[in-house]
Amino acid sequence: MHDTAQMKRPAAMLALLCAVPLAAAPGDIVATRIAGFREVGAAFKNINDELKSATPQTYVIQISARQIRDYARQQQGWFPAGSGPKPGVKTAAKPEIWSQPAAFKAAQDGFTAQANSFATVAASGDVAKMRAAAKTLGQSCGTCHRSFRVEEKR
Amino acid sequence: MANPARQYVWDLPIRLFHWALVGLIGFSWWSAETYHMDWHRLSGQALLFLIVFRLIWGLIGSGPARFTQFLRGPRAIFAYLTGRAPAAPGHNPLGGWSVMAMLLALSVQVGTGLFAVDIDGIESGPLSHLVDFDQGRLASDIHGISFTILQILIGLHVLAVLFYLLVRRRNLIGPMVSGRAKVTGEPVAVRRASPVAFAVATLLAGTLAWWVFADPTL
Repeated sequence: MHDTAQMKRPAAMLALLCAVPLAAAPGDIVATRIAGFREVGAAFKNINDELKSATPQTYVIQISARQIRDYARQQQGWFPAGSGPKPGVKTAAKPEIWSQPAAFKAAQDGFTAQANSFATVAASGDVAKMRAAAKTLGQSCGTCHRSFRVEEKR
Repeated sequence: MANPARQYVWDLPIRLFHWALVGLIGFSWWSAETYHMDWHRLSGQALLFLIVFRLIWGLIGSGPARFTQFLRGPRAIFAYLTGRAPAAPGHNPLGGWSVMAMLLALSVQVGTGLFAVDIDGIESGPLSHLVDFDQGRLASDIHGISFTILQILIGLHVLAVLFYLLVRRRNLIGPMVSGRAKVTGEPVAVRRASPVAFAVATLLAGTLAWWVFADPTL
């Protein structure tokens, strides 16, 4: 946003037009991703509750798996430049997300891949496979969170 | 004090309870910090057993273990603080309430742990399937706060024990190991616990701790 002066005039105007929603965006996108990841956590709790039962309700797992799969697609767009930690914004997103974009993208893709594969396994109805896949899915959460999220007290 | 008399104060279950608590609280802390949540749950199960046992033991245990003996009113506390109370074996009137505060904090600690859910919905307490995600997160938040409170209470407890050791020249640690304390005056008769009481307390506490952590479908 600071280098509009170096651009040609039409480009600068375009940038300005874009800058208006962009300026308002960070707060919204932070709220969006906080709410989104909360839903992922809640959905994963539902899955793990069923899997720890001896008589899991597979439809609950399947619905939750599809929710997580959909959020896993959306989260690819939840970390635009400028939405990192700064005064007045409460976020657990670490600056490393933007300073190590390749590693972060790999972690995001890992989550998306595991979420897709879990949804497929859930649809198959095989509970033993779901238990194994849920573990792998959980590990993909942990992989990203260890590097890119400020650790919360548990 | 050429040959100081020693007298029975703490029964074996109380001493085992005390030192097991020290070890398990430390282990629970470490296992949570290092995300060994399977071990953390096991440690919580052992602590649940110990707390339930102690609460029952406070009703049917030996004299100094009983709530009715060590929970005293403000007059007794005042008399103790001003040095006008006769020395009695067991918790002093102020220390008794400190024990109750620690037991309460520990009960909240273990109780919230049963329902706690981590932020990712992965790790959870054995009863977390009975609550929803937000309630589980609330339990987890209280679990964190109550641990801070527990740490403060334990810190005060250790400071008080050190105060007695260094300032008052009275060793409270030895009796918690050997069960016997030095007395200056005549030894006081202490009500012993019956083996039946011990069996009842162990069985009840063990059953509850097993049942709470058992597979939800059982």
